[in-house]
Amino acid sequence: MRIIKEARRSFNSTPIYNWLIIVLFAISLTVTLFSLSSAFVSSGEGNTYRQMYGETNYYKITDNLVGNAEKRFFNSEDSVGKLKRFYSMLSSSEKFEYLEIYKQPIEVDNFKGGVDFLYNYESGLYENQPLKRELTLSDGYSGVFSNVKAVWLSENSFSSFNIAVANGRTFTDEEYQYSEDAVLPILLGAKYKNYYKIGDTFHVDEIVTCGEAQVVGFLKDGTSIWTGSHFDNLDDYMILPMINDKSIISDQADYFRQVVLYLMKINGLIVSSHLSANEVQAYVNEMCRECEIIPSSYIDGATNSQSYIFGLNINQIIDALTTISLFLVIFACFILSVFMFTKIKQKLRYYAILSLCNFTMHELYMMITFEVMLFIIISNLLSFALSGIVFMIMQMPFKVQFLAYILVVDIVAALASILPSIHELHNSDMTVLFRRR
Amino acid sequence: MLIELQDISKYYGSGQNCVKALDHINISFREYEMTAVIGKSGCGKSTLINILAGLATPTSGRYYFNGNLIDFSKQNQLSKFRYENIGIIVQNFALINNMTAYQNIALPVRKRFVKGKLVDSIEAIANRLGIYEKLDSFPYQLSGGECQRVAIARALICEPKLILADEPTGALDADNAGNVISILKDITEATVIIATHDMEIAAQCQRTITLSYGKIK
Repeated sequence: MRIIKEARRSFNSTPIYNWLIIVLFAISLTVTLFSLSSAFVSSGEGNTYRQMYGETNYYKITDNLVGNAEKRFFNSEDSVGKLKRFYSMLSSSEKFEYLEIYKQPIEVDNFKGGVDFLYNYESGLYENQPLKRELTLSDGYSGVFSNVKAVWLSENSFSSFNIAVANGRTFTDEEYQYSEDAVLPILLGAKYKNYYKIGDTFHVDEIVTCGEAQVVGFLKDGTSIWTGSHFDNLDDYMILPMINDKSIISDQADYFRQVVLYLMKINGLIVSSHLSANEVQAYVNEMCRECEIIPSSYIDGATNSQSYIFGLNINQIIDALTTISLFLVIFACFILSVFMFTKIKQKLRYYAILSLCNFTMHELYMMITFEVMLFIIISNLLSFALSGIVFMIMQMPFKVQFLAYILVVDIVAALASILPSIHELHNSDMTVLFRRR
Repeated sequence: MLIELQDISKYYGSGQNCVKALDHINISFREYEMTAVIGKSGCGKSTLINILAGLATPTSGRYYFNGNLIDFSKQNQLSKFRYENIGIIVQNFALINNMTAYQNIALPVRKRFVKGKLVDSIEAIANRLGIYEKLDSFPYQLSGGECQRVAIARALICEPKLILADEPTGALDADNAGNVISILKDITEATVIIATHDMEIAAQCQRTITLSYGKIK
């Protein structure tokens, strides 16, 4: 008891310095926990997003043109040309195969199907909009439209996922080329068989254009594709051809149509049997650099994708965080060690008096140990509180394994602080010290 | 005999730099006797007190206390020995400044006292030494004489068999020095050994031992 009492008395003798060191140590532990959690999330994402389909990896590629980056890009010269060049590089890459798959609802006039064909039916959000509503389209056509599930597929997506028709035909080569006056060909999922037949026509408003569409076939029952995060069953989807448009921009409306089309075309799926997410990301970074697309598109699960916040990739951010936390931990340990050593050196007479008052050297060592442990325990508690707040705000996971790392840091800090102090005390002549004034 | 030192030596350094603080001394101390160890500075008085207190380890020789050989190699046993048998008083009082007189007196106490009894014991000793009113004062609020009386109270609180006083009046004026010696003379329940170079103090002790260059004259 008297060891604890004296250690507490010694601890309380330097309150301001104590709290400075405790806060420093707590911050260093919090940053350590944060970097550990970031590394954990990063590696976890890598595993989650590395999707296997047979022997093949599928990587979702997403453009990073948001906020100011989007404004900067589209204010730059020949932005559509850059998108087209990037798409061209993706689709002609010898490193991987590129599939153009883009999910987006379309407006269908006089829709014959039920609510289960509506966009967001699965999430329940379709209830926010009526099944049918009156609309007047940009081409002047007025009608009663429904917002239904649709997906644009490139020609190679059909072969990659073995998509075949049960009735009718697939898209022809010509139908993959943009033509202003052409009727839009549409393939329907198997569930549509009860509502439409081949040759039926209806007016549609889709993201690229609006006009007359015609049913050319029905997919086999159970047809599915991988869209980068999960399988999508296409039985209740309308399928449109992902067209190519090599025409020169004629007017502002044509400019917007091409921007939308090529943004759709560069947000596809990269297929590779041998490349990791980070390797794919490295190729994509290189392509984006060549096409002056900044920040570059990112690959889900890649930890070397460029962040538009820091201009660094996740690996670099985690490396920087780890370096900072390591530096902080070493600095905090060093400061604690120097502080304790100095404190013990200044209080040698005090310890000598305690030894005069029947404290054994072992008890004095225990006092120093207990005092250091007080620093570490309080710092730990403070850092857990800080981390709790930070992790809650940033929705980061806290794993029990992190405690092992913190324990290692605590042990290092304790040894670095206790051993030099005990060594100093051990080598001091108590019989001389307690005679000092 | 309470204490028997046999052929005790204490050397500091080695070779040409070797200092013989105590050189093969043989000496005994009887129970309840008040002895003065006198000699010039550096003659080995403090070294002798430190060895008697178990604070310093002799280079050679044997130390018997109450017939038991003291083993200097076992720190915990030495501490227990000090706790059960020794009270120490030094010239500069060796009080802890940020503790009250009461806290300083209570410092050597382990589990022997229950809390109420400890308070009673400290108050009784403080009354006896005339510092009862000063128990809540810090050392820097006390005079030298009061500080030394607090130190004596601290030495007495564990009811030791042996009181070791190393130059207990060295930092005091004549009046306070006289008071301290009176207090030490009044201690009848323990053997008292005072290291001093003051012949007047030595004259008030029952026995005087003179040390010179580490040997008994």
